[in-house]
Amino acid sequence: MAGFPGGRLLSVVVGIAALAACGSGTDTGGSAGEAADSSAVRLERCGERIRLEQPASRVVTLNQHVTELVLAMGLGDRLIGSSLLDNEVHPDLKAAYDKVPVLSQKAYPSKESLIGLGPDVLIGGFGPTFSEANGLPPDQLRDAGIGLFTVQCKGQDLTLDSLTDTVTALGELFGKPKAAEQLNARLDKQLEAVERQVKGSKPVDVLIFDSGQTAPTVAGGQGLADTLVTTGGGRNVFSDLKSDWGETSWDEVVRRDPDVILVVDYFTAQNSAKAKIKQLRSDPVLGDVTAVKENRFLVVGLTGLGALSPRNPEVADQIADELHPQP
Amino acid sequence: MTRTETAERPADQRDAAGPTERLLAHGLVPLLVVLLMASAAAGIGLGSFHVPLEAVGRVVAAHLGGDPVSGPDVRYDAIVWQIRLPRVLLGALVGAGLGMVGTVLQTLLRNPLADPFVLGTSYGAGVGAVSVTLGASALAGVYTLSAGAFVGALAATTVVFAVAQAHRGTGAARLLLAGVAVSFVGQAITNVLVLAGDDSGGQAARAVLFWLLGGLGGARWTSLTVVAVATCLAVPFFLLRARALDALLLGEQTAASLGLRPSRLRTELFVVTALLTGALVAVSGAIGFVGLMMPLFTRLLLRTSENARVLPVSALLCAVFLLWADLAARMVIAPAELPVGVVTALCGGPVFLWLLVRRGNAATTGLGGGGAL
Repeated sequence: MAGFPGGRLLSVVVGIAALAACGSGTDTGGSAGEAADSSAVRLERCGERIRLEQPASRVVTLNQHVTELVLAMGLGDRLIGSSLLDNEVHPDLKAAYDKVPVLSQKAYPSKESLIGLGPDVLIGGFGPTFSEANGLPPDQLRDAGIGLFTVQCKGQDLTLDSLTDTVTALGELFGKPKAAEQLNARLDKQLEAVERQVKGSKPVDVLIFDSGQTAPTVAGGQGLADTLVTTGGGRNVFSDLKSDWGETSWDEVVRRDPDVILVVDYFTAQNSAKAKIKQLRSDPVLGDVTAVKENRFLVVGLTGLGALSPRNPEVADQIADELHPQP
Repeated sequence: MTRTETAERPADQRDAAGPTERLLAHGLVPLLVVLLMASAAAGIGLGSFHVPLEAVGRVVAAHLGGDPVSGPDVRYDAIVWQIRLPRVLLGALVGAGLGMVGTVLQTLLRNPLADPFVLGTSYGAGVGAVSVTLGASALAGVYTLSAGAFVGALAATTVVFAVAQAHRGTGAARLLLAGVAVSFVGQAITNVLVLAGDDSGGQAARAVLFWLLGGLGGARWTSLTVVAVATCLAVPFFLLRARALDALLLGEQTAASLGLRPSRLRTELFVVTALLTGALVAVSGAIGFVGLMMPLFTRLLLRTSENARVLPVSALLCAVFLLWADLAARMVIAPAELPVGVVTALCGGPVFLWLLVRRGNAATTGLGGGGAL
């Protein structure tokens, strides 16, 4: 394609793909475990049936939030590989993470390398993880005898209940319902503490800013980011946007005048949170926005904000601390 | 090598190039066939996951003998028989097809810039594929996606060809311009579809990327059929018209005086190249560089544009090249993969530039001033 007018389209497309990868999805896939004999696993997840004679024991997790979910359940010894990082691994999970082979950090591993590893289950993070476009066609993986578990189904409306459901389903997959219960109890406790903290306080207007120079990409009302900001005692100024992430205009940002700007952080050199804050502060259009005037920025990692992960309550807590500082 | 060509070359080159010339003239096609076999074997044996050689042998033997593969070999079977073999065959077929399409289009248009992608085909395919992804995501499987790309590729080529036909005899520039215009329109439509559509999960965006960069990873036995039939039918079709193509290259009047019907011949060849391109692009996406550069490379290598010789060499070279490019695409950042189009351009570009410097003279492309005819 050298010298062909595709360069600009490409950057647009890459941007969209990255954005879409940030988190989409909604809740259709329950995790109804059917009647099972002692050790066999029978699961249905995002329309995909998973049938295992034994609980999953050779598992590859394909996205960071999934890897961290499994590690948080204390099941790192069942993992034979992981791929893709959006942020630094959570410090509490780092030791466990380092024991699992990292297959590739920036792209999905190829289907043949995955089949070659001989996993019994692959766990994908997002609805389209298992797709031809990612080089992971579900039918070929299935034919190789691999179960496919997806954490966030395509078009799923994510809530904090989805997190509980996911952990429970993972517990069934690994035959470790106790571990799931424990993690859920811990996460619930953290969430309750956040809810107590913000109870009765007036919601603060928050802009959730992903990236964008000519036009900002922000979190809309249908994703997990919106839920977490609400939980942390905020109000997403773009909650009327009918998608999880979407593009709007700087004019609209000025008009809605957020009190705090939450900056999404993930690994890309030119797009670090620091650079994004600098950009927002130096933009003359935004000079009168309250958050910019008062220099109220909050940096949050994508792994805990845009995807179901054990960090979700922590992120809600981080937001609550910024919006409603305790004396 | 014709006598005229030899006479045109400077005296010092004529003597020095003796053995090489003879090899190029007689031994190249068999050599390339052997090389193709070896490349295919490498493509099946190597990859991001190491499969022991004897396991590869067992799997292939089991399939050829009709025995079911069992036990621990099931994993190897999935990798060797379901993934690598169709992939290698697709690479060889697509490479050969693109090599022939490029050669024929460049001859028809008497322009070294002609290739199926410059003529708008890839964006046509992109529009088709994205429409299918967004419009019928429930149906979007290997077939529907390919069918969409196929229809889009054909539609784009038809428009370009119709525009060129509107004013007969106005030359190849019109066709190339029409191709570029169609590319822009296709690109715009694709962008609108992706930006305005409900692209939850970024499937369409990813599909667009795939069609633009091309890849052999989607190869299946089922999707191979169309490509195989198209390419295998195209080989004799083009070879039988090699002489006529040579005549067209000399000019329409010359061709007519040789008893050919140039306009009918051109229409026929355009339709066949469009059909073949549609079939290839539908499965492999727009793998750049190969169809554009390899025919030129072949003409430089052979120092002739005689199509009976250029066509088979270009087809074989492309096939071999694409197999190695794909292997590199699979290995370089293993276990992740690069799009093969990136590798083809990155590896092939510098070699081609070097060749241009080494042999760059009036007869650079064998098409321009007719110097090497």
